[in-house]
Amino acid sequence: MRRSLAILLLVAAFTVQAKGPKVGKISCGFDNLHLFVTFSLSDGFLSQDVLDAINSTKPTTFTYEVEVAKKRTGWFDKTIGRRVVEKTVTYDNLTRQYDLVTAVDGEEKEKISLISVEEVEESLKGMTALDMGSVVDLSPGERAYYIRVRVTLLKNFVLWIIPSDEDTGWTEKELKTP
Amino acid sequence: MDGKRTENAIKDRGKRWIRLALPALLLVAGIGFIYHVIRSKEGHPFKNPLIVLAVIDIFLLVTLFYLLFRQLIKGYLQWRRVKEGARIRTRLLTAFVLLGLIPSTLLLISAVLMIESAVDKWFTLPVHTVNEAGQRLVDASLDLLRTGSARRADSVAKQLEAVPEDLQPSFVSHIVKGGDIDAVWLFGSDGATIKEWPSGVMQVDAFKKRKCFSEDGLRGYIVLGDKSYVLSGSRVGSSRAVIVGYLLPEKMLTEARFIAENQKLYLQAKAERQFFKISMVSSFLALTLAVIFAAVWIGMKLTREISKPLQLLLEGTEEVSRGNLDLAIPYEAKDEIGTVVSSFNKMVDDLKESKREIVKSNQELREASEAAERRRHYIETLVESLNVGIVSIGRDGELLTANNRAREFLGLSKKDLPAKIVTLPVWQVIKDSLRDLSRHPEGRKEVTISQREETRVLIASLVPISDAEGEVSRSILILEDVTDLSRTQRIAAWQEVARRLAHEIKNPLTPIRLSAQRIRKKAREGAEDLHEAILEGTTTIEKEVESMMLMVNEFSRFARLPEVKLRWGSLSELVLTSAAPYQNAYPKVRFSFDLPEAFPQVMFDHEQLERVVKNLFENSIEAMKMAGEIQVSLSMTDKWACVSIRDTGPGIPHEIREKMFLPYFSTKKKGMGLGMAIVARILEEHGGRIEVDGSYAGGAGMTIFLPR
Repeated sequence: MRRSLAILLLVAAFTVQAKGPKVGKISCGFDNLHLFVTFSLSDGFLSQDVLDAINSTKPTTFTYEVEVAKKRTGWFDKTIGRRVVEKTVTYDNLTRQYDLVTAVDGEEKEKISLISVEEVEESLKGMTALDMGSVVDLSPGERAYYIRVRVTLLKNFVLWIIPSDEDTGWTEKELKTP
Repeated sequence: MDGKRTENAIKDRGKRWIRLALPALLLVAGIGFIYHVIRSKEGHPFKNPLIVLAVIDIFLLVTLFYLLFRQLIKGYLQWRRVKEGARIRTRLLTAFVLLGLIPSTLLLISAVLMIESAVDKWFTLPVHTVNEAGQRLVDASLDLLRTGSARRADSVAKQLEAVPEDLQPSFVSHIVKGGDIDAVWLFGSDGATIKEWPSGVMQVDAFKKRKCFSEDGLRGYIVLGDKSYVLSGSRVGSSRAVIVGYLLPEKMLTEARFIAENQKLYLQAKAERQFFKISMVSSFLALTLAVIFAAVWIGMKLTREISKPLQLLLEGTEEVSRGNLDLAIPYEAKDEIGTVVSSFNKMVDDLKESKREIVKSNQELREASEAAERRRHYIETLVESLNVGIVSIGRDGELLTANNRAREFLGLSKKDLPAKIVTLPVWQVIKDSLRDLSRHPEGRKEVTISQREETRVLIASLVPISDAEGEVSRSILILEDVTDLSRTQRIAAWQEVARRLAHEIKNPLTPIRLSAQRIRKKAREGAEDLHEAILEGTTTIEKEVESMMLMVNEFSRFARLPEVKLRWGSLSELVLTSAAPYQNAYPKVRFSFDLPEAFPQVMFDHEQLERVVKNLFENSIEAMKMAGEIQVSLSMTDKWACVSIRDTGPGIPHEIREKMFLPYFSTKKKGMGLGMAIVARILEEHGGRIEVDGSYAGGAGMTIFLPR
C-alpha cells in the first residue's frame, strides 16, 4: 500500500514537472574567446497565470540563470561562470503598453516599451547570444563542461506559506570547448 | 541528601542546557534561512515579508512541535517509570496546552474564514464591472487618438515619399505648420534624426525608430511626460521614416489617468488578493502560534513551579518512608504549597524528635530488659539453687516449669519435659494437693511422696499469680522438704509428749505412792486410823487414776483426729445445732445470734467443725462460771466466711494469746491443754484458722476463718 502510494506521488510529481514550461534548444558559440549562449523557452510558456500576473500592472520579473559548470565525479559539479538576466515586465493600463527592463547581473541594460502581448512573448521567449564572458580559463578539448539554464517565471507558494517558484528546472547542454 | 540534591541539580542544569541547545540551533538556522531568503529575493519587496512570516510560522511550528513532542516523550517515560510528580505534571501541562491550543485554534479558524470571506467581497462583480467600464472608456478614447495618429503618420509618409529627400525636412515643417500634427520626427535608417519639429520636445528611443521600419510600423505609442504624446510612425521610402505626434488633451489625460490609476489599484489588489490572504493568515498563524507557544511555555513554567514542590514532597516522603529523617525540603513560598512544605518539614522534625525519643526509650527499655534478664537469670539461678521445690502451675492445672529441687521431688530428670509429670504416679498426689490448696490458697499442706523406696514429707503451699486484670493466670507451688524436720519435730513432739506424760503421770503417781506408803505405814504400825487412812488413800488413788484416765482419753482423742471430709453446708445451722444443748443445760447463759438469712453455704466437715464450736462454747461457759452471755455472729469477707464467738467472761490475757493454741498449754487446773490445739488443727485441716478477736474488750472473743 505504502509502496503504491509512493510510486503514485512520484509519477504525479513528474507529471506536474512535465506540464510546466521547458527550456528548449540551447546553442552556444565562441567569438573572440567569449562564449555566447542562445536559448529559448518552449511555446506556451506565457501561461494565463503569467499573463494575469503581468496584467495586474505589478512588475513581473523573469529570471534567466545561465551557468557554465564542470562535472566532477563523486562530488558536486563546479560552477565556472554564471549570468543572471532579469527581465521585468510592467504593464501600464493607461497606455496599454508593456515596459520591459532588462538587467544582467543586476545591471540594467535595456528599457523598452512594447505594445502587444505578442511582442512581450517574443521578448521573453529567450536570450540571444548572451555573453558568458571569456573562455580562456576553460581547458581546450575538455568534455566535462556543460551549460545549464533555468528560467523562473513566477513566484508561488505551496500551502500558502512555503515559497515555491514556478520555473523550468535546469536544462543542460554539453559544452565543447574549442 | 543535600549533597545528592546538589549533584542532581548540576546534572539537571547540564541536561537543561543540552535541551536548550537544539531549539537554539533551530533558532539560529531559522534566522540564517530567513536572512538567506531575504537576500536571495531582493527585488521582490512585497513578497519578502510574506516569506519572513512563512519562515517565522515554520520556525514557531517546528519549535512548538519540538517542545510538545519532547514533553510528550518525557511525560510518557516519566509516567512509565512512575517518577514522582510525573502524572500531575503531565496532567497540568496537558491542561495548560489545551487551554492555549483550543481557543487559539478556534480563533485562527474563525479568522481565516473571515479573511477569506471579507477579502473576496472586495472583488465582487459590480466593482469589477465599473472598473472595467472605466478602463474601456479610457481605452476607447485613446484608441481614437491612436488610430488617428497612425492614419496621419501613413499619409505624411506617403506625402514625403513624393518629395525628394533633400526637400523632405522643409516639407515636414510645412506639413506641421499647416496641419493638426503637434510634433514630427524625420530620421534615417541609421536612427539619426534628420528633422525634428518642434525641437527638444522629447527623445524618441531607438526601439520606436526601429519599429517604424518594420512592416507594421509604429502604431499609437503613448509617451507620458510633462507633455504626453501619441506617437505613430511609418517608413518613408527605404531609408527614412517619419513619426508624428499628437499631444494628448490634458483634461482627458487627467481623467484617463485617474481611471487608469484606480483600475491599476484594483488590478493590483486583485492580483495580490491571494498574497494578502496569505499574509493575513500567516500573521494570524504566527500570532496563534506565538500565543500557543506562550501558553505552552507558561504552562511548562507553571507546571514546573507547581509540580516541583510536589516532587520534592514526594521525594521527601519517600526518604522519610525509608527512614531518613535528616532532611528539610528547600522550598519557601507564602502560598498554600509553601505552607504544606513547611508543615511537612515540621512533621519530619517532630518525627525526628519522636524517633530520638523512641531510640532513647528503646535504649532504656533494652537496658531495663537486660536488667530484667539479669534479674531473671539471677532469680532462675536462685530458684534453681533453692532447697525448696518451685513448680509453676498453669491456669488449667498443668505443670509448666519446675526447678531442680522440684524435679528431684517429683522424680523428673533435667531433660524431661514438665508435661511428663502426668505420666508419673506422684502426679495424683500433687493434683490432690493442688485441689486442696486451691480451695485454701493461703493454706499449707503436708504431702508425703514415696519414690524408689524413699519417702519424703513435703510442705506444699500455693501462691496464686494474678495478671494485670487481676485474674489468676498461674500459680506457684512451693514444695518444702520437711522430711528431716518432720522427723525431728515428731521426735521432739514425742519427747514433749513423753515429758508431759511423764509429768502428768508423775503428778498423780506421787499422791498414789504417798497414799500407798501411808496405808502401809498405818498398817505396819497398826494405827487406829488405818481404816481412815485406807479410805483416804484409796480415794486419792482412785481420784488420781481417774485423772490419769482422763489424760489418756484426751491424748487418744488428739492422736486419732480423723481426716476432714468437706461438704457444702450452712454455718447458721451448725451454730444453732451446736448451741442448742448448752442453751438447755446452762439457763444462766444467754445465747444471742446474728446469723444472716442469705449467708452462703461453705464447705466444711460438719462433725469436726461442730466439735470446734462446742469447744469454744464450753470454754466460754466455763470462763463465765456458767452465767453470762455468748454472742455468735456470721460475717463474710472476700475470701473468708467468719464465725465470731464472744462471751462476757474475763477475757484472754495478752501474754497467752500466742501460746494458747499450742498442745498441752492450759490455764486450767484440770485439762491436758489439747482442746485449743485440736481446734486449731481442725481449722488448719479446713484451710482456715482461728484468731483471738483483739478488737473485743467485753470478754473473750474468738473468730473462726473458713475459706469461701
